Amino acid sequence: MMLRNALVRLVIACALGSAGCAHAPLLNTTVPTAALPGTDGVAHSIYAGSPAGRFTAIVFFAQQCPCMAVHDARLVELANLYRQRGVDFYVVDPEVDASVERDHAEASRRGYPFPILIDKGAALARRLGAEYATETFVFDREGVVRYHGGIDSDKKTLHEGARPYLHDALEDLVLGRAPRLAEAKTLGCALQIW
Amino acid sequence: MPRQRSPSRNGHTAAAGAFAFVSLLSARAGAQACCAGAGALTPGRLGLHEDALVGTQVHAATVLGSFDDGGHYTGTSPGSNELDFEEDLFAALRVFRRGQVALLVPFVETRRAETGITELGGGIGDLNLSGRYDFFLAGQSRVIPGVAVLAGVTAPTGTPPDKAHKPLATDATGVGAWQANGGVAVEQIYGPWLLNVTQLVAWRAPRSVDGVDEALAPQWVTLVGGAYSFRNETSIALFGSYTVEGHAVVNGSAAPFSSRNVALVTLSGARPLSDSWRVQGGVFMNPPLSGLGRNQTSTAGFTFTLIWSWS
Repeated sequence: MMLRNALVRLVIACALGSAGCAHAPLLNTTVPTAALPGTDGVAHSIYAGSPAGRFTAIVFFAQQCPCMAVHDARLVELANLYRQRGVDFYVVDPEVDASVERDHAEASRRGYPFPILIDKGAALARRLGAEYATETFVFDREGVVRYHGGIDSDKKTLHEGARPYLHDALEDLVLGRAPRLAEAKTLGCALQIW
Repeated sequence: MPRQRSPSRNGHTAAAGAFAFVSLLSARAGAQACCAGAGALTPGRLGLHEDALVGTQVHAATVLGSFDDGGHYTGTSPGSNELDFEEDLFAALRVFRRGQVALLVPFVETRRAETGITELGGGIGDLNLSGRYDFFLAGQSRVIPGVAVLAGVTAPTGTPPDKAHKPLATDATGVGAWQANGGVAVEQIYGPWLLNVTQLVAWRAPRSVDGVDEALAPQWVTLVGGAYSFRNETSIALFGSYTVEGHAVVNGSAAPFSSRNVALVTLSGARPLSDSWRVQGGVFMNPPLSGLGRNQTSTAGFTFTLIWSWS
């Protein structure tokens, strides 16, 4: 029964062009609002209701991914830097074993200044075609995807000379410019979403 | 993909697969398909996100004995010994999001001593071009394993035994026939464990040797293994493979007692040096036990591989 359900999901995922199959790029398209429960006990509506000029950055999360873990400090630094400059940060856990309880402990352990949102059934990940941990989307207040890609060019080892994709995109956006690199490669673990 | 050269080189392909397998696993520390796929049958398999790689692999093995056509094992007789060496250069390139191709160039040397003669010979082996397409990645689903199809072709660029010039044929470095390979790999991740089952088949083109038409039978290789990844990303793997080949056909008739089979056990380890560099190595052996081989030699040896990749 589990196998059959998984196969049905896979076929649907492929038909919808989401994770697990090739998907169309979402850059500069508008994505519907998604409401996700957070580890802070609040249901968050992704990008909707943001004050004028604010952006929303979501980073897909996998608890056991080493690529995710090594980027925690950089993610926290970016969130602290850009929160005051008009960017709301969230981490989204779409994996099959995600739960508010488990991720509440994870958020505390990792020192995240933002909640982890639980994407039950990976609905948001499928809609966005997200496949990897650390895969990041930045929306403007209309829900238009303005950046899609990794946090930076590092994978499991951090380097001083890494290309700071997300930092550069956010810097350009908060200054009212189009991101110099709107789409970049993501170097993270495959998300276990079905 | 399987690369068969002289009959004594019966373990390198599966051993290489096991080493590649453990190498890719090393990129994981938990239940995520991080930066890797898993399960591979070329030493140059690209991991998740890798766009290209180059590498070199060194094999060294000694012949322990041989299996006769009834499967009975006999150790090497006193005064006879054989050492097999191989140095491979390989490269892989991602051509689709889930597809990759690899080229392997082997250099083969044999040192053989028999009846008072000691001889060393070698040269370029049979070039192998292979491809892999991952339909699903291991770990992406709890239920459905990673599934990949494998295909390849091996060109007879080496010297076949019948074209060898040296008395003990140590300059034989290839099979002498074009080979086409295909297979399916299934793999799944359970926490720090990665399990892999791969089935391969190699078809060898007929050829003519001194006016005699001969064709080797299709060769089937079943590879089963598991690997464990530690938190520091060092990983170890244990693999077993069994290779079966039917009777060769000579001038249209099956040649009796020519079928071959052999088992191989491989223990390997891998360690990423950085996101770009990884090393792997291990030991392999065709168990010298009667019934586990037929018309093949039993060897034991080691392999060391160094890979540089781009993401």
